[in-house]
This record gives sequence, C-alpha cells and structure tokens, in this order.
Amino acid sequence: MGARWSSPALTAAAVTSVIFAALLVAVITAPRPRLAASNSLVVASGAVLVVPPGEERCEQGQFVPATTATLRVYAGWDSGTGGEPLRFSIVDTDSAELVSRRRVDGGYAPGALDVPVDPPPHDLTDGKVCIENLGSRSMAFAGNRTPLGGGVLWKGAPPDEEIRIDFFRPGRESLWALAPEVARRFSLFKPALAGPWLMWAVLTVALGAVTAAVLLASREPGARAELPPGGER
Amino acid sequence: MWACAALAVVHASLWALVTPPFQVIDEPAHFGYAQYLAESGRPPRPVTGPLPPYEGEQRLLLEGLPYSREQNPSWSSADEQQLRRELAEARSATAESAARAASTYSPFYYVYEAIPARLGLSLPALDRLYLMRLFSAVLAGVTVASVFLFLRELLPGTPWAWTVGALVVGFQPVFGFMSGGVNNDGMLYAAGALLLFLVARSFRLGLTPRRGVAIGAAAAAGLLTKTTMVGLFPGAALALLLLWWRTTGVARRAAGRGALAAGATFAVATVTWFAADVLVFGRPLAAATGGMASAAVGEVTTLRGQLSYLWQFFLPRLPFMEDAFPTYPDYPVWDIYIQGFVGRFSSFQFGFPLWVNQVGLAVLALVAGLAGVELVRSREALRRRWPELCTYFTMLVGTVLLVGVTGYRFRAVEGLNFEQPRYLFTLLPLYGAVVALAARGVGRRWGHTAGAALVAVAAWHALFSLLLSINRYYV
Repeated sequence: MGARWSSPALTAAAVTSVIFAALLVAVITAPRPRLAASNSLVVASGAVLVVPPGEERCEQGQFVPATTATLRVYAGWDSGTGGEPLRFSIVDTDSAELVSRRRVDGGYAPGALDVPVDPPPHDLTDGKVCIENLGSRSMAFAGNRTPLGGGVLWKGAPPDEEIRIDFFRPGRESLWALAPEVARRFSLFKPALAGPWLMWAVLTVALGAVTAAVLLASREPGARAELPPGGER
Repeated sequence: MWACAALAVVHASLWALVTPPFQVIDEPAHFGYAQYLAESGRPPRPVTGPLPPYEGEQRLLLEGLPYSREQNPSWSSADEQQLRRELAEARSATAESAARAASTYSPFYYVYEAIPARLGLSLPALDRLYLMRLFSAVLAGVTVASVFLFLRELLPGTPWAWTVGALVVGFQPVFGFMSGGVNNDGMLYAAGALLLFLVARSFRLGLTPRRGVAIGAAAAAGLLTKTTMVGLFPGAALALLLLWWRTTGVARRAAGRGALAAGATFAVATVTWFAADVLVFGRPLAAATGGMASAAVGEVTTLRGQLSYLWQFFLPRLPFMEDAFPTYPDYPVWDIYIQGFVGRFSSFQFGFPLWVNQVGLAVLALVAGLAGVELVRSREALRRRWPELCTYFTMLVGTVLLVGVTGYRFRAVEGLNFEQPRYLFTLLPLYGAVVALAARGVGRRWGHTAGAALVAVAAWHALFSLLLSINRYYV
C-alpha cells in the first residue's frame, strides 16, 4: 500500500537537481554588461529601415526610462567597412526639451551599436529619438518587430515599422540584483490583486513543483500500483 | 496519477501567470470567441473577406499592452493604470468578429472556456483573461492523467515508468506554455491522450462496446476541438480493425460491436454538430477546414511540390528539387521541431541559446537511443504486440503527414511557416512512452534511477523555461 523511496533514484534525481540549481545560481548572480531599462530581449528584427546620407529619421512615442544610460540600435550597411558617423538625439515631446544629443564617430562594426546618452530627468512616456546620418552612405537599422518564425526576414519594412531602440541601465547588474525591479514589472498587466509578491510566489511554487516531481519519481510504487491484469508485456 | 496530473496543472498555471496577456499564440482570437459565446450564447459565424479591425476590449488590450511584438515594450505603471481605466470605461458587448480566425472552430472548447468568461463578466478584462487561462490549465491535468493511464496499459509490469513518463510530459515546457493560455490546443492534447489511452486499454483488455463508445467519443471530442486530431484517425481506424481481426469467437463478436459502437458514436457526434453548425448557427461547413481545402489552394499546389516539400522537411534536398525552405536558417526539422521542442515560445519569438538546443538534441538522441535498445531487447513482446505497435506508428505518421501537408498548402497560399511542435502534441503519450522505454533501456537495476534523473531534468528544464520567459518579458 504505502510507497517507499528508492534510494538510488532519489540520489540520482537529487544530484541532477543540485547540478541544475548550481547552474541557476550561476545564471542569476552573473553580472551582465548592462541590463535593459526597457525590454531589449526581443529577437532582432529582419526588417530594415534606411536612413540616407544627410537625412534624419525620428521615432515617436518612445518610452525612455529615467534610468537610461545607453541606447542601442542595430546598424548595418550595404558595402564598405565601418559605419558612418551618426548623431542621436532624445527629445521630451511633452516639454519639447532636448534631453540628450550625442555624436557617434564612424568606423564601428555592424550589429549592436551602443550609444551613451544623458538620462532624462524622469521617465519619458512619449520620447522622440532621432538618428541623423552624418556620413556619405546610407545606413540601415533593424526594425522593432520580431520575425514570425526563426530566421524569417521581411522582404520590406511594413509602412508602420520603426527602428528598434533599446535603453539600458548604467553599469553591470546581475539578475538577482535587479530582481526587485523585475518583480515590479512582473506584476504589471496582471490580475488586479497582483503585486511584486506574485513573481516570488510563482518562483516558489515552481521550485516546489520541481521538488515534488523529483520525490514522486523516486518513489517505489506501492503494491496497489502493480494492478493491471495481463502482467508484463 | 493524481499527483502527476496535479503537478501538470501547477506547471501550466505557472505559465498562465508568467506569460503576459495575449502573448500565447492566437490568444486574442480564442479569448474573443469564448467571450462572444459567453455573452451571446451562440458560436460566431466565420469572418468572410478581410478581417475587420479589432474592437472593444480586444483593441484596447492589443494597443495598450506593451508586450506585443509590434510595439515598444515598457514597464510603465502609469500605462497600466491608463489601460485599466480605459478597459473599465469601454466595456461593451463583444463583437462577433472577435473570434477572428478561430471562428472556424466548433464551440467545443469555447463552451468550456465560456464558463470562466461568464463567471468573470463583472471582472476587469485582465482578471477575466487570467481566470480563463487557469481554467484552461486544468486540461493539462487531463492530458497527463491520460498519459499516465496510457503508460499503465503499455507497460503494466513497470509501475515506476508510468510516473516517469507522465511527469516528463507534464513538465514539457511548450506543453505547459500552450496549456497555460486561452487556446484550444489544450483540449486537443487532452482528447488525443485520452484516445491513445483508450486504444491501449482495448489492446490489453479487448475491445468492447463500452470501450468503443469511449473511443468514438474521444475521437469526436478531438475533432470538434481542432481538426489536427484527424492525424490520429488512420491509426485509430487501424486499431479498431486489428482489435476485431485478432480475436476469435465471443470476443470477436464483442470487438465487432465495439468497433461499430466507436464508429457510430463518432458519426453521431460529428454529424449532429456539423448539422447544427450549418442549420442552426448558419456557419458554412467548408469553414471547418480553415480554407486549406478550397479550390484556390488547389491552384497553387501540386503533388510533386507536396512530396518535395515533405522530403525536404525531414531529409536533405536532392539535386532536382526546388528549395522548399529558402528562408530557414538551417534545416526544418532542427529549426522547427528540435529547437521548438526544447523551447521556443510566444509566436516562435524567443527561445534558448543555441548551445542549450544542442544539449537538448543530445539528450533527446540519448533518450531515443535508449528507447531503441529497450525495443530491441523486448523484441519478443513486440512480435506479439505488432498490431498495437502498427497502430501507434500509423498515428505518428498520420499526424506528421497531416502537419506536413497542411504546412505545404499554408505556405503556398500565405507564404508563411506553418509547422510548430505543438501540432504534434496529440502524440504526447508516445513521447511519454519513449521516455519510459528509455529509462527501462538502462536496465532493470538502474532503470528507475535513470527515470528519476530524467524527471529531474524535465522539471528543471521547465523551471529554466519559465525563467527564460521572465527574462524575455520583464528584464
């Protein structure tokens, strides 16, 4: 009737769990170059938006947190080595105040381009970010949409596409250090009674479920389990 | 069994809470369908022509949620409060077009989801959506309980393997992710698992009229949930035939009645629904195929193209074949089924780093290899049980072919990828069986130990997948 634990099974499951737990600790305590002040973990879009030489493209309605220290775009070009010089500016649309203006010299590698910026005095919910191409070749920037499938590229940018811009906090932070902020974000757009506690509750239950699964799988089945007629097949 | 089922429900519920609203595949449409049904008491008629713009709650949620792949994400508390206010002020009757592409489905799943939708009518839309998600998560328990029972019939002499296989299925991350959303896939998986359990039970104890009725009902429930269920039907039909053929005397008469009962139950349930669909609710029958059987599809597809497509999905392209997958980064099976099974979430938007997928492939290969060893070792039993083996193999081939054929036609018309691992999840009991066989393949002495370790791997894989999702949406 009653079930007992199988010692080797429990040991194997426990050892496996210890390995994964160590990996988990390593992942959440490892300092990262900069954690996003907004969600920058979108898969890079295949859509490309072109800014010809001497022209400027602005993206409206950007959420620029007050903790922003760096912005990132994904830059590319058709031929030649090194990107063209660019000028980035951030404007608070509500007050029309220029928050930041920074020039990036040419010659950088294609891909993620990090640009240090002055942090806004408060969260900008309707910020305008402009990119001016100061060079002699057209520059292309990844769009804000993620592809529908792995590796699928848009043949052309949709008309309402905009350049993808990520905003980063200063310094290096581990997931653990950022956990209170992550818990706050987690609680947004959740049921009304949710608060930052919800993420901790979810993680606690998840760990409990892992433990329960390990214990359940390590049990020696009781006599009642060996019931079906027909025997071994 | 109950503990395995409960853990599966917990797992799916965790996904329900972690995944932001409308980030589960096609969730807005499924939410809209259930909501419309709950309010009007009628299934929506399929939308013909171009889809109209979103309205009411759907529009506000799609425009106000920062997690859409079309908008800049943010974590502004002010934005959240603004959305809540707008949702509270704009509460109105749900439009019939809210079901969007989901309107072609029968209301079978949505009747179930209409219960929390109805109960939560007075709740804010976000609260109601989470309530519906948690309701859907319960179906994960039905699926895993069915997997447990299936394994009990398959390997009656190895009780620990029932738990191992069921738990590994219960902690499959994509299964948890889908089951934790408002999506009819959750009910489809449950119907598929139930059908496989009933077939396995009939192979062990014999087909009776009662079991036949149950098989027919499970098949009909699956079909009325989603037509992906059709992939299991050739195998199920073969099972009925073989169950009748292999018996003699009185048992044969009972098996014959059982097969007839299965067919009759299935026919009565489906014909009744389709008749009601057309005659009572005014919904065209052709809508049930989602347009994939229309003449327009026939104009842009060929048998040669279909065969080439299927070949290239699984095998290297031959010189005379036109490249059917020019946009795939590597290799369809790897890109879609392996990486997707290890874990790609939302609309295939994000997943694990490449090295994790490679480790996942190694683990899956090891599991498959060990299962193969066990099958070879059990060849005497397999020889005796070949009808059952043929049945499962036919179900596997039927489902894979169905997805491949639909994928080809979808790509020909829409120009988009179709295949996703979730379309194969009616076969989850077979996945559980492979895992259980792999553990047995380690040997009688260490099988249980290996099984427990596999469960630990599966459970931690699920936990890391949840963290991956938290990382994607909130970091």
